[in-house]
Amino acid sequence: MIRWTVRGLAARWWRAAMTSLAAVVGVAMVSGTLMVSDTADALGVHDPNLDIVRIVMLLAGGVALLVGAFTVNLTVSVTVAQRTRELGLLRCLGADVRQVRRAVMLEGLVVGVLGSAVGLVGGYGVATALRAFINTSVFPGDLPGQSFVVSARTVLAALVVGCVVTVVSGLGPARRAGRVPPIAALRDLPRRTGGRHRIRTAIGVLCTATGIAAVPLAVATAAGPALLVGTVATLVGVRLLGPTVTTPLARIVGPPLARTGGVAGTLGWHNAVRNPERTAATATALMIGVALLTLVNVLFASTRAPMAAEHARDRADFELSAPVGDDEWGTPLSPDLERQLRELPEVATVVPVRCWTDKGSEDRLCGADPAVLSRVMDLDVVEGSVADVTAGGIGVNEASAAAGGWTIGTPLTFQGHTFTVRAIYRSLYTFSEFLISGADLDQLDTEPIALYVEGERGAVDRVVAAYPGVEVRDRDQRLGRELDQMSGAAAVYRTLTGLATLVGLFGVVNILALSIVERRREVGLLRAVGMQRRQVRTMIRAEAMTVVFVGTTLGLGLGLMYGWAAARVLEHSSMPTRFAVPVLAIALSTAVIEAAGLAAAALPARWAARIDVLRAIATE
Amino acid sequence: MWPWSARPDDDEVTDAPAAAAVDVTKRYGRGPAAVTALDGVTVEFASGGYTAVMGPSGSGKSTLLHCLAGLDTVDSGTVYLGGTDLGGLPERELTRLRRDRVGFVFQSFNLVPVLTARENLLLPCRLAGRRPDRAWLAQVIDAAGLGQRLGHRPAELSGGQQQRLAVARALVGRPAVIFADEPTGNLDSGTSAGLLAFLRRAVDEFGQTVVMVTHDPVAAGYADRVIQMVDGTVS
Repeated sequence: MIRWTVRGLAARWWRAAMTSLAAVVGVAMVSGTLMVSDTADALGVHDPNLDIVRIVMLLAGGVALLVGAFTVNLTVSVTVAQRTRELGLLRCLGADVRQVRRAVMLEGLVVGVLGSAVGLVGGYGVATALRAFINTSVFPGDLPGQSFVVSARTVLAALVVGCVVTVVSGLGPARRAGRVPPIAALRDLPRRTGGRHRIRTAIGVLCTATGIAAVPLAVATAAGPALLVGTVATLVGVRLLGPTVTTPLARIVGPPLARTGGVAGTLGWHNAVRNPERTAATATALMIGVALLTLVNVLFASTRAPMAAEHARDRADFELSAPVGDDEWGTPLSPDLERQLRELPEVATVVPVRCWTDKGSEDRLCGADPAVLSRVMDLDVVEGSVADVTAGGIGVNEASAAAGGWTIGTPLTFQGHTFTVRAIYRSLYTFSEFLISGADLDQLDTEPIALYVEGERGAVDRVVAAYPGVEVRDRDQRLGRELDQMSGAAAVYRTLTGLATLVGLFGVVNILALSIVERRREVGLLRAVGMQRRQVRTMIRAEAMTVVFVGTTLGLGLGLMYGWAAARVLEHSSMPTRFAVPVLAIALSTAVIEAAGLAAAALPARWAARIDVLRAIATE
Repeated sequence: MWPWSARPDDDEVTDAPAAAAVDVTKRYGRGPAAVTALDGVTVEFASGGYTAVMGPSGSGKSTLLHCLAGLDTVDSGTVYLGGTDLGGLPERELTRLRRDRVGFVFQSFNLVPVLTARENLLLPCRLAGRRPDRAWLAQVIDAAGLGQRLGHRPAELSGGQQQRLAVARALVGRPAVIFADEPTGNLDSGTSAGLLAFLRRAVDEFGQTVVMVTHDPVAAGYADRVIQMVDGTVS
């Protein structure tokens, strides 16, 4: 029986490979993350940003594994359905139920081991990409070195994760395989269509209802975790409900497919509709990726909008500083630069941000005089008053005040100097330092770290030319830098969720290829009665489009719903959001997915078109 | 009336028929669309005999074979296989019985496509976890004329070779009965003759019992006894 399984896999190697791929993506993400974190530990790098990356990557890897599990389950199910006759023959020859079941489970295990092994190699690639990302200017972190630590734990985790996913996904199909009666070797048994488990539907309804109920609840109470639970519950619920949700959606595309694809289009669509369970399983696997991708798109657009609005608070024409690497405010500026700029008739205002550096600990206290700073920035004071920030007073930003538990009147001590909190302001994207009176700044041994300047660019540039390393950034450049950072992060999240979508698309290819194998005779018959090869291809594409349409529509709907909820929940967080739909980005990613679905259908479509008419009809 | 009835695991009984059906009825479907495939069939097949079951399409001959082999259940009546009443046997016992006491040769799709000829031949043994009797195996392979083809996959064998392999596989386990369902249905007349002669040899030289369903009078001519079926009854 082991031979039967292994040979069966070898005979359908491409399918086994596609099934393995479903596990590969998730395993690669998880093992790559483990490699990076082991390497960081070995190098003694402790960076909270790295922890965030790790959590995000592991979560994304988990999602990819979940989608992979769906795909594996689907493929093994269909393989079992297709090998029904063979299973029946084995039963005729004396294989008992357990032997059949074990043979199918072994298939899952082999696929899992293969997927884990390839995933581990892919994990090295993921780790390399992660390090490149960590070391870019966009991300505030650093991971030196060339190689990675591949610990036994990583290898074990990759194997366990990959195998558990595939074996668990194979349990259901294995049980079904065990139920194949011996007589199946002799006759085509009617496929059991009805008999959907009532319990499954009940759990599906319960999950979906819980997930949808979590939306108003989370928005009302600003509870992020509730939303997370709700999202997962809805995705699982829709998956369990299956055809109940997907079939009505699939019906929508019938008429347009008939118009564009003619009879071939209608036939392809029918193929998708008459196999509701399978279409549902494929579409919902795709749905998960699309939903998360949409969620990410909405969240970033929602963060971007208020960011631009916030940026209007910074009215300074130019910001001058000498950056070092990622650090915008790298080295202190020469006091001469500040003086020369003040002397220029073309310059109206110069506001210095000054820093006092403790020689021993290298700790830095930076601040600006609110009296002059408020000329170029809208400080938006929440509590106290900027006018109160005189000698011995200090203004702090809202987030720091909340974190430190500071209120008006709290004394703050920095290297022997005590200041009293007199104002709390909302920080800007470009300024979140302390507000310290000019008198105190002059008294302390401070150097200018950055200058906000209002005046003519030409004159400013002429002065700055004498100071190498000093950068002049106008308002657009400052906004651009912030948005660049956002875009960098967005690109990473899009890639991660895009990978989950990709795994879903593997499922679409698998399902198409399988249904072609199943319908060889039917395709042969259609060709015999005059269907052109081109029309066969159209038929297969129409089937793919139906599945992809259902998956993307569900994903878009759920993604928008949860994106809206997440944006509302985060409205009052440290990174305020305002719900925005990035129409272009969503339209683009949808178009890409649909195009990828079509491209994925190309290979199965070619196979179908190449089916030899005579042989297809002749084979019993 | 059947002195050898209901004695499972009793190999001592030698005078019992290899297989028998007593007043067996089998219906498919329900209501007005129901079809009676077997209508009170009573028949027995002696050990060491070669019987052909003939009849037009839809006469119930294949259904009778499936019921006798324990592949299908009956609605009423009793089926005996080597003295064992199949009615009410649990699934596991039925599987064991099929594995150890029955050999099958179907019209097509007899062989597992992914396994080689040798692996197909040994599959029932492997499933049972038994070692095959080497001398007997060599004899069977020789009789089937498959010596050169054992490393090939079924798809690489001719139709005649495939069917002979199926018969050989049935022989390896020395079953109580070999059931053959239209074994020559997909073969040309020359190849058919070879296969039928091989089955004849199985009976004459190896003392096997063969029950063969066919609608080909030439094939039936190889048998010791011919049973005619019409509309679900033995005529």
